[in-house]
Amino acid sequence: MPTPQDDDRRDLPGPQPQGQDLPADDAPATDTERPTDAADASVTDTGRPTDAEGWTRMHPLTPWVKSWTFLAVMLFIVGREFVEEWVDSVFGAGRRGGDSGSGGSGPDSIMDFLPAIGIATGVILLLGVVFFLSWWFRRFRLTGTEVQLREGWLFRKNRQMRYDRLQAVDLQHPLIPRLFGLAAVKVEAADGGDTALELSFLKKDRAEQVRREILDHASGVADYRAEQAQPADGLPAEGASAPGPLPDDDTAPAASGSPDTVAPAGQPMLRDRDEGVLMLKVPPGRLVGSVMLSDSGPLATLIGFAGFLGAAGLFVGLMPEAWLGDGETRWSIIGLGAAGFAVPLLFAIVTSTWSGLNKGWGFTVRHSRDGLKLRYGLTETNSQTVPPGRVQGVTIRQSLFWRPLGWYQVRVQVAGYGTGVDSERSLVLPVGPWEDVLRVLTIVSPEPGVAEGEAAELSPAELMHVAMHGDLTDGGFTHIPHRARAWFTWFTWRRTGFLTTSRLLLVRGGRFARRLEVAEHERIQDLRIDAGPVQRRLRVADVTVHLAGGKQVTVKAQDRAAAEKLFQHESQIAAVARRLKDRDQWMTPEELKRFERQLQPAGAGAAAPAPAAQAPGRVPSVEAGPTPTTETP
Amino acid sequence: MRAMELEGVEFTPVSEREIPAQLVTGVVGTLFFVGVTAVPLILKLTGVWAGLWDWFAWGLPGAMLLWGLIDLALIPRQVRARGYAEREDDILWREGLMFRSVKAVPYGRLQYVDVEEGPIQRRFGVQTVTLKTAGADLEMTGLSKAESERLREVLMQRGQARLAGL
Repeated sequence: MPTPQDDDRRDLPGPQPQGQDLPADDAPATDTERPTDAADASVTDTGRPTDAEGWTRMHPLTPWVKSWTFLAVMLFIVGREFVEEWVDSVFGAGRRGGDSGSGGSGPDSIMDFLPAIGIATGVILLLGVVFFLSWWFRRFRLTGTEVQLREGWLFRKNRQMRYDRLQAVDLQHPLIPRLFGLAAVKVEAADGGDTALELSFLKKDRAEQVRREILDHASGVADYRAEQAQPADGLPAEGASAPGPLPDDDTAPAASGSPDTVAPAGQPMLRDRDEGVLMLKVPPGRLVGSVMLSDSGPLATLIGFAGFLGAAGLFVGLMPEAWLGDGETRWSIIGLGAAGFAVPLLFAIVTSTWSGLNKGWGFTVRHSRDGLKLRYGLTETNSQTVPPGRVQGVTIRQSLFWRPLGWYQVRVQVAGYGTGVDSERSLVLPVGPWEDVLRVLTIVSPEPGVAEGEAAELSPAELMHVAMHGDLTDGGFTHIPHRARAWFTWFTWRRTGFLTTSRLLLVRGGRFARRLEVAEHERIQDLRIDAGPVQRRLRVADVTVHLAGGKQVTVKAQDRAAAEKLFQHESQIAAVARRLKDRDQWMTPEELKRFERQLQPAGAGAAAPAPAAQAPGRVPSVEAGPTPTTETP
Repeated sequence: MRAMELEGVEFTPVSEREIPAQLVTGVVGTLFFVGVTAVPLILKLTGVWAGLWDWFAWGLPGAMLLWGLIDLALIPRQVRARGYAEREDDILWREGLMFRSVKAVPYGRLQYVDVEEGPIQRRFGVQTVTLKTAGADLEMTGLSKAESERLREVLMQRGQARLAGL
């Protein structure tokens, strides 16, 4: 039924004729014989069930899987009714026999179920029809320039996204779909937190393949291949026949610098070339430790709770006798209060710990020609791909209790992932030593470039180290002037400061929990300088820069002259930075060639360059890793 | 201490007509809130809620009125503190009396430009221009109609010419 919403393309090849009778046949089958149905579908699914125009449907189980909570609740309610009735009729027959004239004989009680069974069948049929229709009308296709998704039956929706607007592509395996071997492909554009386009659900292999295709189109590799198709000895063909260049991920961990993670070194297996080079893994032990010791983790919460309890206890202990009610002692009040807070607190601790563990479990970071590849998750596995040149900013943090252990956390700002440092998908390193941080930085952050003054002699790695750990003017930073410390910066004035290099703005902060924010000048969208009444008296001002996707980086309370200079400087750079204009495709043919060349030795020697750089000083230089994509002419 | 003065930047003030526009809006708003907060007082005077404390019944609308008056008194100065400056590659917007700020939006980062006017603004011939980037919005309130039209044209042109992407 084409509605007014129907758009210009109304080419639905023949769903209407079939749509009449198919649902009735198909629906019960989908429900009652799920396994076989899934198996059936998989046969057709891997074989690209596309029509003449390239439209592909999702997996037929999609609607069932998507509404699994609803189905589970329904099943539970119906099942409970059923069981209760049955129990009643079997054991309670004598008791209820008196009410109904027809007694409690066997056949009669089965007759009693008939309406219920009828209703259940009706509901299932109805669901089947609705689900079938929603499945039938939901389809996608990949064209040369964009991804298209159509859905809806009464109200139709048609969404397109151009490859050059793509910010990230993620593959998700939530728990229930995972049981059926299904996955979702999420395509992000720079529109804030919403997922621009979700292709869910597809068979795992198919999803992988779709993601690959989208990435190839977006990076320009697909175009390149098309050009190379005529000379048969082109690069892609070579890669396809001999996928040797990439090392297997189990041999690469040597590069991760954490010996406990090295898997048994077998023969390098030939793998899909998408896998890329394994940069690091987060071992379970470290993850558990980091979650326990994080700023919002159990330890911090317990310490806070103990402090609160102490203060409250002090108050109760010192309060006058007259405030006590009948039968109350000071101890009973304290005990009651503690118990009252302990339960929700425990609940909060358990949930936050669980979510931390669940998300960070098995966290691996790979580097491939598509940029950074992250894989993580326990019940819901995610595999994210952040193309190079799509990272807007980087934040390194160190919780207070992580300091003795030398652990850090790295987050990136990607326009498609939405605002907030806590947006879960922005995490590229949940916890790791400083070497891991540097390794990640080589990919997500460009060379800092030339710094002024003191920092000029520092290597990039040293600069980052000083920026994270130093205070006052270490590394050439400008910090909050001493005179302004009374204005809410008693503890942090030494640390809160900034440094500009030729390419980056580095902002450090936090006295107890350290923080370093890195923004590339040319990615700054707009900026502001603010000063309130007190700040003006103290002759200081705040400078805030905004990055795409809503992230803000604020340099607080700097000397006014310095702040104004920074403002002028950044606004100038932000205004004239036009270089990124033509970077919609991040893999030009030359870059692709260079990238494959760079991977060659890494693969041949299995673990040649990276550990070599690793061994001597334990502080790898930032240039250690392959950085083919972050360098731009 | 003077406003934030960036070296060599001349700010063009917004339209003076914004002052009466804001005053009218402010008066309407103040009357509305005074009216709402006067409800307990009316209840007390009509005897429905005779037991209400005097200080509360009179104090609530009184405080609201005072607040409104102070706000109104500051409007002219607040409006005069606003201004914009077109530079070669970006546009600056200055605002705030107590809490001063200057914002910069490079032309090349503009995603789109909105021009809006409310009913009161329309009577006084002033408009609000909103500049949208991928990072944040910049609202420039109180530009005269002619000026906002011109700005919109010019900004979009420059945005096209200097497109910088994300």
